[in-house]
Order: sequence, then structure tokens, then C-alpha cells
Amino acid sequence: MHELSITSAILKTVLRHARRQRAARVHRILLVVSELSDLQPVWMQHYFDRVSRGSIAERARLEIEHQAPQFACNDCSAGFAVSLRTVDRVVCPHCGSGSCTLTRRADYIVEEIEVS
Amino acid sequence: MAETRIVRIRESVLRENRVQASILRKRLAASGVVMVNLMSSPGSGKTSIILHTIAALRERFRIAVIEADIDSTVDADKMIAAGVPAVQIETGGFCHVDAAMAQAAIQELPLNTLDVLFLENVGNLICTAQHDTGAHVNVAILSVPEGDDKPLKYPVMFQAADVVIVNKTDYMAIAEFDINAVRQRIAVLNQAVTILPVSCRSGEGIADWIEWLTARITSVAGNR
Ligand SMILES: Nc1nc2c(ncn2[C@@H]2O[C@H](COP(=O)(O)OP(=O)(O)OP(=O)(O)O)[C@@H](O)[C@H]2O)c(=O)[nH]1
Ligand SMILES: [Mg+2]
Ligand SMILES: [Zn+2]
Repeated sequence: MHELSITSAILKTVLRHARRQRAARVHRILLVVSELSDLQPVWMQHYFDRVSRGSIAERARLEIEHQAPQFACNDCSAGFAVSLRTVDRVVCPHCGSGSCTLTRRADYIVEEIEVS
Repeated sequence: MAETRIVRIRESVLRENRVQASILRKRLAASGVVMVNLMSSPGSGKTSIILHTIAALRERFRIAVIEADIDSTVDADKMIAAGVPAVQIETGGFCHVDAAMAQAAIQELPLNTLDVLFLENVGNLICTAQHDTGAHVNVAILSVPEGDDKPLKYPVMFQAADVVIVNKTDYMAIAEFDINAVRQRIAVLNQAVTILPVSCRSGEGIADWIEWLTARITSVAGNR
């Protein structure tokens, strides 16, 4: 149900902007999703097809770009990205410090839409 | 087919909920009510923590509970049996409570006769943490049998929390659970968080939790 509630929110955002653009159809949606959000792209499209039925975004293609979480080092203040899927510790690649802070929260951003 | 054009949007789909949540948070504070949202996996101890907290604080605060257990009123019944008003939220099968659902449940409660409102969120570590409910205090519960690797597997939860209760410490000896590893993993995600080891079974650590929560409630209520 995770994907279902998020796709409904995506549709709402997309339709609001499409209307403002006086678009007749939405063909493609580019979504930037934090890797922290743990979404299954296949289910996203499946649910989107379901919730968008009958709207001008029906049959729009969801393009999902995953973004690795960003960290900042507390010692040398370098910024870097780490995929938490592959590590069980976050270490600064510049100075080796294990004291780091997550700087970007998990989110779903509708980056752009292709309309006609 | 007409020519297509690309429109830049750059908008978070969680934005609308965040706006609604902050309105609700202000409204509750204005009525003198502090909302405490409890999040965890199924069975980590949300209901047990709330029941301990009611027992400890019922003389001091007027308490009510919002229950969001999927398709079950078992937990709401336990709260009513403990003598506090409880409402069951209709999540419609959803995996989290959002600000609109919390708002709807709150309509059924007499706000002006309450000080503290607990929200037992749906047992889920991902979606709940992404949806601001309007609560003033966010509590994440991690139970020892779930393992010490959870913080980096479910970072959103530990990032959203003001306090992490490590519950079921009575299992610590048999579960090979490294609390220091948990502290380090959480620190990477959230440096402001307080970590409190607790056992709802033995009562160990409950007093620390009550003390932490009381201070939080007092500070939120004092800031309105
Ligand atoms: N050994 C032990 N068992 C506990 C502890 N805390 C809770 N339990 C048990 O764990 C089970 C689940 O506890 P609940 O408080 O119902 O957990 P919950 O998070 O509300 O569960 P759901 O609402 O079903 O998601 C119950 O059988 C509790 O008695 C603890 O500290 N130690
Ligand atoms: Mg429960
Ligand atoms: Zn560094």
C-alpha cells in the first residue's frame, strides 16, 4: 500500500501542474526518488496506471531516477553520497571519519512532466 | 499527435501533507494539547509503551489515544479498559497515518479537556516516517529481537524520530544485540535523537522514558 498512497499523491501534484499549463495530456513524468524511500518501480507504474485511469495522465510513463543519500562529514565537512544498501557503516571517503550526518531527507520529487 | 513540451516542476509530493501537518500542530498547541506519535514495526511494543505511560502519567495529565491498527480495535479496547478515551482511526488499509487522517480522528475528541494525545501509528517502518502527522513528538520503537542493523536499513524512521526507544531489553542476552552499534548507526542519521533502552516486561528504563517525555510535554506546552 506504500506505493499506492505515494502514486495518488504523485497524480495529484501532476494534475495540478498540468491543469495550470492547460495541457490536454500528460505523456511522461520524471520522478526523483531518494533511495531511502524503498519503492518498487514496477509497482509504482502499476498503481499509477490504476489511479490515473480516466484522467489526462492516463497511460503516462513514470520515469524514476534514484538518488543515493547525501552525507556531510563532521570532521572535514566534505559532502558525499553513499548507498545504504551496500554498507553497514558510513565513513567519509576523504578523511576516513566515521562521524557523518545525513543531509538530504527521503523524498519524492516530481521533477518534470512532458505534456501536450 | 500534437507536439509535446517539457515542464519543470521540482515539487515534493509530500509537501501538501507537510503543510496540513504543521497547521494541525499549531492548532493542537493552541488548545494546549501535545500529540505524541509512536512508530515501529508490528509488535515492537507501541501499545505496551502507551499503557505504561498512561499508568505513570494519568494523575498528572489528561490523556487520550488515537489507534491506527489496521482492521482491529483490539488496541483501542485496551486503552478504553485502561480508562482513557480512545478513537479508532480509519486508515482505509493504508500503511500510515497522514495529517488528514489524524485531523479527522481528532474531531471526535474533546480537545479542551485534554493535555496529551498519543497516536499509535500503523506498524510499519517506512511510510509512517515519511508522513508528518502533526505530532509534536515523534517516537520510534526498535525492539531487540528485530536486530541491531535496523537503523541503516530503515533510515527514514530513525531520521524522523525525536527519541528512539530500544524495547524488550530483557531479550538482550539471547539476541546478540549490540546497543553501541545501534547508537553509532543512529548518530549518522540523526544527531539530536535520544536513545532509551527499555523493557516493558521488567519495567527497566521506563522511569527514564517517563522523565524524558514529561520534560518534552512540558516544554512543548510551555512554548505555545
Ligand atoms: N519480552 C518482552 N515482551 C514485550 C515487551 N514489550 C512488549 N512485549 C510483548 O510484545 C508483544 C507486542 O507488544 P505490543 O505492545 O502489542 O506491540 P505493538 O507495537 O503495539 O504491536 P502492534 O500494534 O500489533 O503492531 C506483546 O505480546 C507484548 O506483551 C518487552 O519489553 N519484553
Ligand atoms: Mg499495538
Ligand atoms: Zn571527512
